[in-house]
Amino acid sequence: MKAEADGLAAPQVNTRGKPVLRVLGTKVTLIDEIRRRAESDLGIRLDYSVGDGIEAQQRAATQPSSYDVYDQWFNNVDIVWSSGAIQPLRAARITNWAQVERHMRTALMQNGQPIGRGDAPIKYLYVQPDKRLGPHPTDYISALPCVHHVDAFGYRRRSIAPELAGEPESWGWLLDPRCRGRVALVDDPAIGAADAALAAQALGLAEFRDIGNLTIEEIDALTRLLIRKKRAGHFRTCWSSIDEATALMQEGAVDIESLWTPSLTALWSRGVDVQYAAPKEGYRGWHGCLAISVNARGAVLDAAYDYLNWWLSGWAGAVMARQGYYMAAHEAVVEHLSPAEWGYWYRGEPAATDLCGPDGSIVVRQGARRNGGSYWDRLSRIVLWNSSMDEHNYLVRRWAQFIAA
Amino acid sequence: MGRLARKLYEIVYDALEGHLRDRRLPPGLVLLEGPVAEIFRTSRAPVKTALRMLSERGLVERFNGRGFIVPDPDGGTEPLRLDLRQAGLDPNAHIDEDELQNRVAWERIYSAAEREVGLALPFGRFQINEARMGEHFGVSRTVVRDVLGRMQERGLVEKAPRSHWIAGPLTASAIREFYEIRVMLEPQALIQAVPSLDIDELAAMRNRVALLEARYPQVSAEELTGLDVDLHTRCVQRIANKRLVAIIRQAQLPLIANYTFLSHLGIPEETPELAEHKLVFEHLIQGSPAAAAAALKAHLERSLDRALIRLKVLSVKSTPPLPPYLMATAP
Repeated sequence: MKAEADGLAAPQVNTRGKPVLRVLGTKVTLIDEIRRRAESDLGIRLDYSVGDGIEAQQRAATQPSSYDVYDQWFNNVDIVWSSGAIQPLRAARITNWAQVERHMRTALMQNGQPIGRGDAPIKYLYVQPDKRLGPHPTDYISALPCVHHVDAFGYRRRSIAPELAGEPESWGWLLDPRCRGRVALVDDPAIGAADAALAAQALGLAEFRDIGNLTIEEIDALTRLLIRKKRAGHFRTCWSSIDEATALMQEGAVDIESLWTPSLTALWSRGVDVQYAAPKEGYRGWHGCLAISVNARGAVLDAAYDYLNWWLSGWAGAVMARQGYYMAAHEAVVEHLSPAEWGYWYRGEPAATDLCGPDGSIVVRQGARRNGGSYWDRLSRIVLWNSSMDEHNYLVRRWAQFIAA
Repeated sequence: MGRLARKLYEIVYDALEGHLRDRRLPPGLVLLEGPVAEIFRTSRAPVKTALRMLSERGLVERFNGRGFIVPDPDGGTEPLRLDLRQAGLDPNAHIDEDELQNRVAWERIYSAAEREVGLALPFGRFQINEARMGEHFGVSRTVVRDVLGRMQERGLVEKAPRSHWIAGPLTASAIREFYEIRVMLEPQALIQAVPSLDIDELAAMRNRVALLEARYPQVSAEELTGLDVDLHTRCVQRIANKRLVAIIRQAQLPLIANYTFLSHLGIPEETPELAEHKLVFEHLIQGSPAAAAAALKAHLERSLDRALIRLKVLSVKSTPPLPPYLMATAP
């Protein structure tokens, strides 16, 4: 165990004898500031193992002995659950479960149906009697809903074609010939393909029976379209890290790209005039969650539940809010945000003051308003969730061919 | 150069039958698997089958010792233990040497070829280069074409319009379709097969499952997929309607996929498949064909779910090194 190996290396809190919790996940949530505060609040030692989305999922599914907590997304959960790598969680052990359940079953549903196509998180939340995951409430869940958001794309208002700037924002811009050579997609088979599918559908270049679950023929058509576009020089590149996405926009290498919130706030804090679209077709949603390895037992298991509960207790949610992310138990978050922050990030109101990001630099100027409205407005306009489709394996192989083309 | 129509055991059977018909072998001559196999330069399995068939037809007989004897038309003779060549068994008589050697090569490479192609299926769509396949396995183009023909019968490859053999991709929709066919046909075929199933054989099959259950998970992918042969080939296909057998065989690609998943993903910590197989055998042993068919149907339905999940889990694996005769091709 790492604690013994490091002997008396000086942590902020003397955690000798306390369990070490190994957390596997991505840069989205495995932030140092959060780790330090959690260690201090919980009196445990945290070992963060950060990978990109695909590496983390691969390890999670195949090496459950290498982590205790897996922090990723609901569209990954089914694969990892079905591999037997994570254990069912007792909802009763979650302090803020009532808030979370309300969020999952009201904010994310409309007329009894999940909002948005594809892997709506409620479809993978509850462990059913036959051990599969489903939306019908039981006492056990696959993973604790946590950080979530709605994604679109980012663009430099002053650099894109003037005709476009005058039109309502649309996913179609990502494939629009007027942006040729100045576009980047994310190099992730599920998410990049989802952005591309939304764009293709918006432009009428493709039709999908169910955009959340593409057929083989639809995947082939989309891949052919992307390869054609790539060979015509439409894409500057495909980015595989948040830092790369940030640099592309900052350096002016692209005018429009798949973009995630950490890049957005980083760009704003550097004074780059980048707008986050509120596409008329709706958003692509994703929902993070925290799962516990099938091997976690005893003190480690207890520490894991403590860590999960800590995430929902408000402080972490406030840190994430300053990056633009939402939290499944947002009522706990209000107390840790200033009224101006709560007003801007959640209520969609103009910023009453300048607002700082996680590193203390100003990311939002007084008077700025979040594109797309309030938290509840934006959630209700999710048209598609990040998904692991039936033909996910085929999509992975075809996406690799697009990347290599 | 046509399809090789005869299986290896048929070639051996015909050769021995020819010798017996022409009375080239002395009455009482003891025929043992090992020596016969050595003379024909094949493995023992086809000889065993050929001797069993000859004995079923009364052309050779069992006796008070190991192996079979050539019958004496005048009744009881002492067993004659002679060197078979000296006794008149001529490996060149009643046999086409080329056919025999082609068949031997075929049997040798078929399992390996089926596995190699099966392992590649989830990773894309592949064209098979016949010449390279021949080089890879050290066999002639004739043998390669027969191997591919057999793979086509198993649903493993297809012949594309421009005359190329295509393997893969293994998709969720294909898996669903294969299981839909199997659910419709296998339980019915099993009921039809019941009169031909021997209770001792069924007990042996059930015991094979129990042995693996006891050792689980200390088992190999080969052992697990071997159980599939017992149920889905030896039992389900033991019917008179050969056309139906061919249709069922062509829908059984998922059985090859089972081996593929086990190889790439490892032996799962738990597998309900063993209990599901055992239940079918137990119903058959109890003399309840309808219950056996229902258990088989349930097993197939759950197998479909497992296959779809395993295919998704496999998406995290990058394409492994592929055999030189497989070339990635666009749809």
